[in-house]
Amino acid sequence: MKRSTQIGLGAVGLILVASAWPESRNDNLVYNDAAACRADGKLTPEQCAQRFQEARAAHARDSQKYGSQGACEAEFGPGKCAATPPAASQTSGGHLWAPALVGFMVGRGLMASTSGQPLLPPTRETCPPGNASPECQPARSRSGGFGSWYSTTSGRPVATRGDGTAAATVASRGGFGSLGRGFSSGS
Amino acid sequence: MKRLTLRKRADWQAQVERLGFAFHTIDGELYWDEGAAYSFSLKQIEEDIEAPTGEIEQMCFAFVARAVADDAILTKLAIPPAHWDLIAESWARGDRNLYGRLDLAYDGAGPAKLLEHNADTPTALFEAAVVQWDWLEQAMDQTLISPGRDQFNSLHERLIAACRNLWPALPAQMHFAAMADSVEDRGTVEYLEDCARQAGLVTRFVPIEDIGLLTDGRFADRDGRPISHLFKLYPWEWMFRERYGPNLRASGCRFVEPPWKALLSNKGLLAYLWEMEPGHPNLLPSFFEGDAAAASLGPRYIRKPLYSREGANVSIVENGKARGDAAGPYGAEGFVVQEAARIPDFGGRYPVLGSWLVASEPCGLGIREDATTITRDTSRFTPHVIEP
Repeated sequence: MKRSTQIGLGAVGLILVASAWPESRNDNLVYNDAAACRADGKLTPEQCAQRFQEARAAHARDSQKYGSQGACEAEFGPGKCAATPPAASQTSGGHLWAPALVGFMVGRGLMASTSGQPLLPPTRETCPPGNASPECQPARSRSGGFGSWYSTTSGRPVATRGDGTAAATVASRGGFGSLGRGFSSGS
Repeated sequence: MKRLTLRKRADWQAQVERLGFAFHTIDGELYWDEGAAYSFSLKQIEEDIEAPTGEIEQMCFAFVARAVADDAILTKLAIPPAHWDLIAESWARGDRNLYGRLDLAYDGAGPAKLLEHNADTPTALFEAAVVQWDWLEQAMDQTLISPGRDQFNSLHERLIAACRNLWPALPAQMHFAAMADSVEDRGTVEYLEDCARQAGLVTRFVPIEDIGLLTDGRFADRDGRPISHLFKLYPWEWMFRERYGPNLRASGCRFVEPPWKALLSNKGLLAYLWEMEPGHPNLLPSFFEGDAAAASLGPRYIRKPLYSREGANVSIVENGKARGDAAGPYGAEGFVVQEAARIPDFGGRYPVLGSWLVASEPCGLGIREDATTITRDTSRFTPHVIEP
């Protein structure tokens, strides 16, 4: 016979759709520092040290620099900025200010080979002044376990879950579908 | 091969709707038409349709293997260079394909001729796999057609098996995307989701327009869940050129159909197949427009954009004059010209055979007939049978 002997539709599907969403093994891990990373035990001490070092270097290199403490705090909030050592190329001798390094993010799974990424305090855009929500308070857990907001050096928000993994946040939407508008995609 | 005129099931609308077939009538026009059926001998099916379909698929593989390593071919196909690596990597990695449909011109006698390969986003799947299967069972029960007939159609079980084998291990979940406002596309995706669930996958639908980009470079659904494995009923050539095109490779996402299918859904394939196997009985002479050899086609030929779907922008050229240029968005990337196949005339109806491949195995047939020789999105779907 050249045709199927029976066709079942939808019978199994309903059960599977309702099943629990499995945690992604590709989420990022977030730590306040190398010690918190070692304590968590998901990475080796060497990996923790290397990724933290990478994050520190990226922080020094990539974080936005401000000419005054006030200018920096206007963006990141009071007490969230630190003076940076004068760069070798800088001739005026004064300090520059940058958002403090408050954590670092390391990839797992697909993203495991990426460097440690520096995490900064959330920007005012993410956590406006007076926002009392727990995720806008300083991280209290050594592994970021309360669920906190951070930002990256490029200003994108990062949120951690209660389990200390960072759900990468949606940076944009709508990048597909523009050419198909009004036409069938099928053939 | 015959066209049978048949009595419809009295409650045919209710019967197809029972299956979840939502587009039996499109814009007030009949789409599913069981008032007729095409009838074949087993020999016609096996020797003239099934075997050539498998052979053409092998030729397509040979073409992809050649094209991924040849910048000149990729350029000629108007594939943006930024995506050559994505395509080559998906081929080198052996990313599996799920399905495709060869459109064939066949009259029951001579060899079937390849009109085109719908390799990336084929539709008319549910009606071929399920609706015509269910019709045959009921039509024989109700003696609307004499019993003992068969159908070239193991699509459903092959799709489930193929979904199970897409990757070495089942992913935690698989997303399915299509344009949200196209009933036909949505129906096709719902059916494939159903097959995937029966294969053990957890599936989630996301409108293609709602896909987001995460801060870590992965794509995400409406709830911000990362998309690791994505079936997209949306053409590669559009994804390449849209805003997230530059993010495709770094997203780490595995796609169905895989990126290398972009080389087969391109009408330039037809010119290259003819170049590789000139005179093959199942191929029509085809050339890139402007190629000196195209003059051998004579005064009447078909002109098709490299990228075209549902017959859009396809025209018949006769003595320099084009007709039948259905409106559409295609053509900017260039054209191929192809010898005009003889589409058989069954009392003013012109059938085109859709020969289905699942995981590259020929396993089904769906026929669409039109009142003109260009099959468009207004063509009717007509079931088929194999004579005992």
